[in-house]
Amino acid sequence: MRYTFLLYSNEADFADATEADMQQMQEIYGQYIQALKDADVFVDTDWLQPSMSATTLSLRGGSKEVQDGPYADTKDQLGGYFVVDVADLDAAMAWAEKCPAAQYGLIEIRPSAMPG
Amino acid sequence: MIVHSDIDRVARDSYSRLIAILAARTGDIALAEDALSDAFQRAIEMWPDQGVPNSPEAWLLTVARNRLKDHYKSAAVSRRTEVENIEEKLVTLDIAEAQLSQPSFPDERLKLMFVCAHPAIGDNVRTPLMLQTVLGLPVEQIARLFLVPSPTLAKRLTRAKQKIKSSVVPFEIPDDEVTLATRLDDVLEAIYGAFAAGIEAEEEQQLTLVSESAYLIRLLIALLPQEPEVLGLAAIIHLSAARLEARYDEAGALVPLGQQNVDMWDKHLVAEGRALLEQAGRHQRIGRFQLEALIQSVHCDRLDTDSVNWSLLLSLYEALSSIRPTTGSLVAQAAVISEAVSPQKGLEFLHCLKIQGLEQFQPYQATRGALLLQSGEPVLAAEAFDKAISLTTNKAARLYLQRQRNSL
Repeated sequence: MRYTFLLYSNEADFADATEADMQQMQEIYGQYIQALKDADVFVDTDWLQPSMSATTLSLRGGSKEVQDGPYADTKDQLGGYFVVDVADLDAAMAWAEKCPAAQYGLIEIRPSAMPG
Repeated sequence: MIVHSDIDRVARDSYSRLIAILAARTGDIALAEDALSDAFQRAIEMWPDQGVPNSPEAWLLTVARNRLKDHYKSAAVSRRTEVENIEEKLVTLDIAEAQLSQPSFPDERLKLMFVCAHPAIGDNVRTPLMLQTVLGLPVEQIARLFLVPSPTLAKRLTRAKQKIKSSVVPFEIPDDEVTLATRLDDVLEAIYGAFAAGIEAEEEQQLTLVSESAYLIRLLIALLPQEPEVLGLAAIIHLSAARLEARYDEAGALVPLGQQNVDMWDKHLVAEGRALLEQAGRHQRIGRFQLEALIQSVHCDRLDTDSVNWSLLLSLYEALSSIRPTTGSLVAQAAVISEAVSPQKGLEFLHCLKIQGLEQFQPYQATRGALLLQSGEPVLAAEAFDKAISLTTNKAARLYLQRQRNSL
């Protein structure tokens, strides 16, 4: 079963992060990705640039609407995601607990709805 | 593996002694750290030309105290009401400076450790706070050890220190026995936290965490030589560290205690651990750390007798469950019942446990699998092993479980 971890955090927490901080972040995420791969549960991941870089687009209202910025202006913003392939929600939660984002933000775990 | 170089030890000893003196007298750990790091900086600049002073610690304390004076003077200008309070702090620092070289001068590090593990401080920051303030480890290094982003950990540490300062967490050793025992348990738990994280960690991080926790427990023994539980935790650290080499096979899979090659155990560390345990026993006050150390020591009997006294182990687990039941110790007790009595009895015990989240607890599923297998239930055992494997995020443990599963 595929699960997506949506990683939310407060971008202000990392506003003062130095080059060395970012490198250390990459290292611990690197270890996490390696652990997922070792367990053969890794599918995909990406880290996103800050929400101020977002462009939000919709045709829902009948014409194209483009908004500069994220869909919702909330304190915690989507900062990245992981897709894992594990047995069940218990296993997904065990892995989410190990994700560095759980230490500074929150992780929404969503099961895949895609058939097959 | 546990010993630091002499120079490192002396520098660290001075650092932690001085931080404790400054923090205990100002109630402000962050300020003490800033002042002392300034003093060390000055020493680096001046000592090569002027030579090392007769009493380096007194020199460092004087410079740090002057820094604090400057700080308080500028702070007092904006907040007049606190002037008296500040004068008092400076006087106690002056006294400390004058008396530092006397042998009767108290070691304040114990107070610092009690503050770091104070119940008002969050569980997840007590161990890092102790590593930072008592051992002087940089935030970046602690962050790497616990796999937490540096800015996140830095924030937690700053918040903890602010709380200590603003809520005036007292720098004192509780004088009634009951409070002392509870608070000491928190200090031991924080040190145990560093060690336990080390056991699970990768090679380099493992070595650091194990040796740092060993340093902290030795310091604690020196400061509180009459506390059997301190000796008990020291024994646990020695007895577990003795078996670190034997914990993994060539493929990197975990080797459970009962299957470890005793020739790979460090006999010197086992002997040291047992001596600590014996020393603890003389006080005739048993506690959870001594019980856990005794359990380890019984396992280590394989060094001499090539067998394990399972009924003795069972009574130790029963005693542990009666004073400090944890999910981990109860699950381990089931495995011991299986050896001492029968796998069926072990399974019965396991199935009678009413603990929330038990089904998601990896050791529960792994133990259940092993006991089901021994009870001649291979199909159910396979299911339990599959569940255990799916919950395992540690590579060594997973390799071991997969091997068990594949043997079915």
